[in-house]
Amino acid sequence: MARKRNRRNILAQEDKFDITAMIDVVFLLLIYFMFLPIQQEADLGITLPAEAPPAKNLDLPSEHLVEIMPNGTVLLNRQPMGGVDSRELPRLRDTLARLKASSDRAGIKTVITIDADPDSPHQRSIDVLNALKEAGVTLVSFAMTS
Amino acid sequence: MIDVVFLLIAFFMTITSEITDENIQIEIPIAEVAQVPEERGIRQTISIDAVGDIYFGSRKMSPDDLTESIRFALEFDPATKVYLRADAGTAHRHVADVMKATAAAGLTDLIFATNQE
Repeated sequence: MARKRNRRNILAQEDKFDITAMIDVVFLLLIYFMFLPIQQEADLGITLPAEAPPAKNLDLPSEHLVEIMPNGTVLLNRQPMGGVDSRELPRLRDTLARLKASSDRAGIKTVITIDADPDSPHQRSIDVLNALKEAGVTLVSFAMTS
Repeated sequence: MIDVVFLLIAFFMTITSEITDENIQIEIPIAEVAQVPEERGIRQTISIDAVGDIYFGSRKMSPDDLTESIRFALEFDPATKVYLRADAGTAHRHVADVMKATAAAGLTDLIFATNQE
């Protein structure tokens, strides 16, 4: 008899299961996954030109060429605009803003072609796009060498 | 049970780094004036790592296969955008290859991934 009661006690003890530790862990997981994607990546959008025949009676835009050298030097219409040591390109930005302001007054579009050397780092292209955006230039194309 | 939970943690930590295409090791270039979009739209992610390997989503592929994949995505949804995550240090030629491949597929909406700081 005593043995039977003892066994029942053991069974009753096994029925109670402590889930506190598990809930703690689950909350920890919840907090971990909530804070994981904290840094959002931002956009720098461009519109690529589609292959289409040019429209007639097109107003000729004011075109400028931005070149990126393998070492990261940036040239605007063959004039050096920034060295390799700084990501900022204030001269490029200011010159482009001036050029754009004068074409806007004349009612023509400003188009920038970026000719980046195949060996130039991608960060430099983004620096140039960054400066173009600051200058308010929206029509950008990349020159492709095949 | 705690053992099982820890096993689950380990499993999900490994799996998320395997399947999330944003976890290919890339140092995103910095652009101060870039904006975090309010509406992200439908995007296909292309990643280029520092050595120039191209990934479509999390799959590594050649520029030719990339053209096919983009063309397929455009057939499915013509408003598809491509989100280009290129490493800051990668040579421009790899970025140019991807731009050529996407242009060949008829895609016009290309977005460069940047960080603001």
